[in-house]
Amino acid sequence: MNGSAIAYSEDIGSVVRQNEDMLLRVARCITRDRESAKDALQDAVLSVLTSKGSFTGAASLKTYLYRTVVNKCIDTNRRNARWRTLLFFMRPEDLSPGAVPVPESASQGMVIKDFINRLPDKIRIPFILAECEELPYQEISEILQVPLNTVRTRIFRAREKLRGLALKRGILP
Amino acid sequence: MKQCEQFRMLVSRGLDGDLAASETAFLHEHIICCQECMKVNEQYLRLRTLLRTPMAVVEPVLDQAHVSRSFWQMGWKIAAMLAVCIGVLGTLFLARNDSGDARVIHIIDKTLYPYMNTPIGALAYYRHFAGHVVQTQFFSISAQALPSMRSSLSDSVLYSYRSPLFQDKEAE
Repeated sequence: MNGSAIAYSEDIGSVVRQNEDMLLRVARCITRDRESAKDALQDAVLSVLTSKGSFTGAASLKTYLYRTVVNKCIDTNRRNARWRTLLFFMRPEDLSPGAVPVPESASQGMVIKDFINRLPDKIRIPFILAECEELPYQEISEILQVPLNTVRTRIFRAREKLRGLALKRGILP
Repeated sequence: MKQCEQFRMLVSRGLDGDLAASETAFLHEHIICCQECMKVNEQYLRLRTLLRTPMAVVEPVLDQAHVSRSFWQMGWKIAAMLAVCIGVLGTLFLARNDSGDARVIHIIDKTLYPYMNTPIGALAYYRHFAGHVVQTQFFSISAQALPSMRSSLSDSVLYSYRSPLFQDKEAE
């Protein structure tokens, strides 16, 4: 391993350590599952460490790492799609203890999160990055490698869809 | 309405801090006089508040799962799946055509001695499904194999591949 490669891995290590929580949260939001998120994050870090050549330096290392994590999560989702039939038969509310009192706003928040989980990946991922991670649109556009205007439209569409669902459920006035 | 949709997009962008100063001013001007867009802005803000409300972390506890309730609740799903399976299997059963069509495709040599283990012909067996040949099997016919074949094949098939010579010998 030569000097630049060592420096590169050290950079990656420090970026991962600094953003670990955020990356894991993004991965969890996209994959909708904690264990799949951990797997995707691990795959992404490994992939970034072993493929130094594909990092051109055009974007920041953090953005590059985000992009890899998002791509790995999308791959994981695709791989997990075969279990959808099984998940169809499971109802999350049946697994949660019903006796625990949950504040109304928290339960409404959970319903909204459930709505977000049902959105198509195309609009869900940019929305999560903007709404939950508060990333600027420019960075989201670099992470997802789509034009800035597309990011704006997709986030708007996700919001409109959520608003419609919430209105239908009576959560919004 | 179309114009309002464009403003709604500006509202969405404004929430995420993606608007330039001029766009912000433009949006505020509109929102002041448009009740609909004002309402949408409030709804977006409410959605954000709800999303950022700390959730009660509820870990799935399998011991406390309402198994019996979930079983009955997913009963209709099981019923739907069974109905689909029965439909598919029923269609397959009805479309099935079991009347395999067996026929001799070639008689090699009619003069061969029948009790030698030599092929005297070949039998092609076609299995049909939904009007198409889906399986073709070829059997070589030896004179020795004939007695066992006679019991497994119908008379009409047997008759069709018997060479005159063989029939004569058997008659003897």
